[in-house]
Amino acid sequence: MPTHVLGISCYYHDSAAALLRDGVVVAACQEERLSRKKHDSDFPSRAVKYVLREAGIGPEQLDAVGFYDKPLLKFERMLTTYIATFPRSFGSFRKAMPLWIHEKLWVPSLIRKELKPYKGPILFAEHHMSHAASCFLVSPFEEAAILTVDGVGEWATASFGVGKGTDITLFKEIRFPHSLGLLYSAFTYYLGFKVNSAEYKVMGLAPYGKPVHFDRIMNEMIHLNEDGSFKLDMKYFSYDYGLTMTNGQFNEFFGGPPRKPETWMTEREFDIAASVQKVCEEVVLRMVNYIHKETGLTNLCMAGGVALNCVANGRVIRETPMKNLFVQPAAGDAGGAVGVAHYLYNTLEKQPRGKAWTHAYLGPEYKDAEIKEYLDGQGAKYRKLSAAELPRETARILSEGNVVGWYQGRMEFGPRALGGRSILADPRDPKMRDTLNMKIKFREGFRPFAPSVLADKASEWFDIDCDSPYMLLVAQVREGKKVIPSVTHVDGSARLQTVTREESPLYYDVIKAFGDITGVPVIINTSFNVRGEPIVCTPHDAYLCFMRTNMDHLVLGPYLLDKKEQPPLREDVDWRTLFELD
Amino acid sequence: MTVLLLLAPIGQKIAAWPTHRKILFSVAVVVFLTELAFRRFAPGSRAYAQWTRVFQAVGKFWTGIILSVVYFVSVAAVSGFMRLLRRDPLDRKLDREPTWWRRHDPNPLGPQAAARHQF
Repeated sequence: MPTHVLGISCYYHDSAAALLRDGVVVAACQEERLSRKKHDSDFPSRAVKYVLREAGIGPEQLDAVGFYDKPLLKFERMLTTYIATFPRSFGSFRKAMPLWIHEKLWVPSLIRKELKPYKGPILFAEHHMSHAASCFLVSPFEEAAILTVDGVGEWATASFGVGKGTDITLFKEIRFPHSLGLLYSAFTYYLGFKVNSAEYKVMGLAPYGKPVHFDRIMNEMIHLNEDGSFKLDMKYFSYDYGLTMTNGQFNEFFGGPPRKPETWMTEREFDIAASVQKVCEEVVLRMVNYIHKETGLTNLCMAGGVALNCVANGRVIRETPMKNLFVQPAAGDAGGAVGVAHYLYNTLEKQPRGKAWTHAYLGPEYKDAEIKEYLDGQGAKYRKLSAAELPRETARILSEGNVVGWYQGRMEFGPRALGGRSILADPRDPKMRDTLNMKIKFREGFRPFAPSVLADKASEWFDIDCDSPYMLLVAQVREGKKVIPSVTHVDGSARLQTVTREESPLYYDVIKAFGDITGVPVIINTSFNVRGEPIVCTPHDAYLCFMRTNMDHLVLGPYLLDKKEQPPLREDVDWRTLFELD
Repeated sequence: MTVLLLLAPIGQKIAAWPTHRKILFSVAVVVFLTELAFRRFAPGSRAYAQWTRVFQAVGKFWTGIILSVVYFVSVAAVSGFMRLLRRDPLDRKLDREPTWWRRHDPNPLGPQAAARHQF
């Protein structure tokens, strides 16, 4: 009888479910993709149903269910914080307590209610242990140093340790309220973006500015030791007691109030973003150097929201003694679902580890017949192409400057679209970035786009000598290869995805065919959604997104749709009001 | 007949109540019966949704009052005590230390037993 372990993460942000069968992930999915609510934090009922369906089992056949953190320790931290910050914490206390009393304190009961008639154990792992397990136990390393950095778990905001075989030992940690993730989120808030959602925009904004505030932040706001440990001067922050991230002292520090969302951005915002990005990189680099010194290891696994900072990751590879870096594609809280499931199965039950992860295609998939039935129901006009024709035709369309919605196979797990649910375009056209930002994605003009490149050509085009299958590394575009302006950021960098035929045969063939036509084996790959919308999951989501935007073509499985041939979409509501901007 | 005989003393007790208590009791009975009726006959109706919203607002108001009392009594008391002892559980002091890494204390229950608990 196979062993099935279900991992669940929820109630903070990015809830998710993951299912292991004999230690191998059968399916993993974020709730937002199914509920269509970005960063959905509710119990992942839909995701649980999906992963069970994918495994072909009912809840009663599960052997164990794991939750990705320890709710009572988190509650203790919250109460302690309210006590320590009395009376300023009143607003936060009043807002948070009903949620805790209503659901967060009753996690086992809620899980049992959702998983009826499951009668087995409900187990818990510490938040940072879940992160550590989520990266190490699916990594290719037999032994590795582990660094987890995020906003906050129970008390820890960062931790490091060592993984060996199936064992994980965490040695040290930084504790709340001193948090690199929350520092970054505070700046995200101050720059007018949504916390726990738009941190990546700060990273994208940074290259436009100069880190003119770096020294001041390092001298006054954060007290950083050579070993990467730090404390924040909490007089500048209000996240420990209030409903905002920063306070009046922070405003004074930067000479003005936070930027209002959706207002014009100036050099001031660029410089602040550049400064906090540099601080973040400095802290991570010092931490990694210290961990190397302490453990003597040159393999590193990273997880936690900060591990999604691909600029910092790129510097870790280039500037520290670490020779190999593994960051799993859902490094944030969603990945905690995978982490706790692996922790229970491998570490606690001492079961051998499975094959290392090489791709992120762990979500729902729809059969060609289901797609056809849907398209026919919509009255859509389409052509069916063979597996040999599809890449060639898609590449031809792309090379003519068209924007293509690309929907194939299983959906990705994690925040990045990696060729399963992507929007593709030609990176050679200098206007393509503006076209995509303004007419397709309806998002801020400064936002860069990422390239997908054939893995075997990556080092020819980018200054990189390792794979980046999950789009979690940034590298410089090589001199002499600056013919891809739409994926080259202002500082000459690109957040690239390397694609192999083994993992994504069809997607690889599209890029290869594009390379054959244009001489450039690189295409733009951005997530298949509009601003504020979760990445599309079903053919219906994809068709709607295609019809609502100015995309030219849609490839749904083997079916190619041309926008010009489609019947107009009739909707009762303005779709722009459906998604809250991030 | 037996039921009526059993209810008679309760009826007599209610009849002896002062008027304001009778009014409150009547309102409670009407609310209770209306809720049951909605659930039974019109659970998806707009009227029931509005009815629910009204009582959610009432619930929110009282939750606020109760939480305020809890906060300004219990949280205030513990906070005052901690301040008297000059203890900061959040370790916010910025005195220079060679490292701010703290030891990760393994759960004293051991990993297997610890996994069964939420703490």
